[in-house]
Amino acid sequence: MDNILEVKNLNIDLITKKNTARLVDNVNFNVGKKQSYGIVGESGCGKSITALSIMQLLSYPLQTNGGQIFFKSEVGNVDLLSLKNHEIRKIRGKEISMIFQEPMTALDPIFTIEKQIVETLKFHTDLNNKDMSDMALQMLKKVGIPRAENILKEYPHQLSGGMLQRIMIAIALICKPKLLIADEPTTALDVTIQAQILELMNDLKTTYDTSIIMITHDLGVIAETCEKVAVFYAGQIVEETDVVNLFHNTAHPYTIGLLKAVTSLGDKSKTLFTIPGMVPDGAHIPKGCRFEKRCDKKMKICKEKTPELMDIAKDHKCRCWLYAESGDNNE
Amino acid sequence: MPKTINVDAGFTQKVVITMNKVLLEVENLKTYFPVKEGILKKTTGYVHAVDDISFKVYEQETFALVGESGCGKSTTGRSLLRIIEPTAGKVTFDGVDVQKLSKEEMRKKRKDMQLIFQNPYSSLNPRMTVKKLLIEPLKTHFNMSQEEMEKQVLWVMDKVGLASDQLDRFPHQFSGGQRQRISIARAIISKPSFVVADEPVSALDVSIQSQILNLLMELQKDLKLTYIFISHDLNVVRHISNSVAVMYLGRIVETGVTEQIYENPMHPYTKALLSAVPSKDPLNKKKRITLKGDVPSPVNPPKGCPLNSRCESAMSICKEIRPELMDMGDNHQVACHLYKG
Repeated sequence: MDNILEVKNLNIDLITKKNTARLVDNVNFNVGKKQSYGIVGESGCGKSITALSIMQLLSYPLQTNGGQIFFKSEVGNVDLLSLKNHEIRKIRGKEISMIFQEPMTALDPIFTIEKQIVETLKFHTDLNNKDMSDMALQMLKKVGIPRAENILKEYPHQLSGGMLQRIMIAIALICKPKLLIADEPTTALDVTIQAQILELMNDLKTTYDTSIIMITHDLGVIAETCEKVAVFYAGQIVEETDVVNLFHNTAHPYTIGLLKAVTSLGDKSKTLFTIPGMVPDGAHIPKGCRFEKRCDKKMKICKEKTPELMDIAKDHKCRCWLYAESGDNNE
Repeated sequence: MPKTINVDAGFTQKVVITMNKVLLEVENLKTYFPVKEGILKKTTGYVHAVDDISFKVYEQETFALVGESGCGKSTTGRSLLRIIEPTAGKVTFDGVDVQKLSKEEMRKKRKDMQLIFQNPYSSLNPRMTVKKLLIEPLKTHFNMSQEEMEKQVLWVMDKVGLASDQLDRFPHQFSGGQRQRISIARAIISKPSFVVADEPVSALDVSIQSQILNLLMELQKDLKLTYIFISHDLNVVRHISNSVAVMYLGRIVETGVTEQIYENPMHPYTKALLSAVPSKDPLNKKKRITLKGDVPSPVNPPKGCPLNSRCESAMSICKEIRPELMDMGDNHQVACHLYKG
């Protein structure tokens, strides 16, 4: 499969007066054309800032430190991180767009819905006002908004969360982007509305041939929407594979723990499975494997050497000494 | 007389719920908020946040209120404790009519009726140390010596799994899960018999969520607590509760023993809600019942059944007459015209 996005050795640092904390450490992944790629992890694992760095939306005190992000744009294969501000603006919103977590705060309260949709078109196309309004209307209908003509003239506070998220999707898709980054698109929504939005995103993906990066903490959302998945833990990818393998041939102890914690819910066998302890703080990353303290399968080597993300099967990568070739862990 | 019913809870075990005495009885509870408009702040209508609900909570049971945002589940929880004054209805707690208590009596009563809040980041005073936070409820409710209070604080810290050397820290020095432990400690330090837990785990990560749920269940066994557990997360509710009430637009649409509701949902809304939970298996995607549109405004709730505009099996009667809760046997009640009691 052709890749639309290739992230290579990406590092992201948080700069403070005292020290620098590495929040994302040497992350590599590729997103294929028309693929939906899931990034899953708990809060603070670096999944959102990875997405922001693709769009070059990081601001002080966060900054990338080394690494490349190649994107197949209309003008050829470009490294997004090396682009100047005016260059990335041509890509942002047109070829790569983003949906944010809180539709209630992501839209500007003082502009009508129409203005906010048309804004993107104004910047990226030479259409006249009438055409732009027509396109906005069409788009609203496509994302399933009833009475679209009236809604165009309304303000964000007049609409519900589910409707606003549909509008965010409409804004994101109006320039027919090649890549859509969805950062927790349904976390702020109720389950029945979440079901509507996920269905809509799946439909639109097929109509527009868009690749999607779906960032979420909810393994259920991953199971419903993604083809390939990367599991983040404390700024690193700990496991990467296709979605079926992730749920049925789970390799990394952290992923196994997460799945157990979720699936043991509902089965009233007394206590829930828990992963003991907490995620290490970005400024005090322990030596060795970052999951070692919480892991129930830890070995001697885990404390001493950081495992690499290694191939353990075809299209299945895992960062764990359990799966190291026998020659490697004899030290 | 204690009544015992058997519920088949899945694969191997049988859970026996002993229905003790009724601890809390709610009859026709209504909480309306006035909508004020204009310079004169004239009341132009009411938000029907809680609209005529009744239920019973048995001793040492967990009763769950589940529903989507704005369905009135949190307002119900707060109306019970009179943090929000209900408009009408009767709440009997341990034989006492809570509505009839004076403000001062109610304050004393709250020693036995406590609340755990959703967001541990905003519910703890950032300028108070853990010790101060925990001593505050003791000072309010008891007349204890400093020594006794400190003993009680250490007892509660141990119960919720916090170390005693963390007593002099401030809330911002703790993680979300630990903060929620502090909130729980604050709620149980006065040794209440009844706790309303309002979305206690929804602000937490999955791996921390299960730690807190385990803690709540342990405490229930240890301290013989009765919970009202308010949540929008259906998986969590299934795990922790014995009985559940599904709320929609301020009313209970279905209620009964938890396993029964999950195995055999009857109301179209409950069915849709359960089918909307994402499947945990990519090979086994669920068939969805998608509800169209949004929840109607509680200011002008629709005539007839509150769900009629979104329901797949709506009939003409649904637009006219509001269905009442009907008994379908085994304590399973449902408010829908599809069923005739």
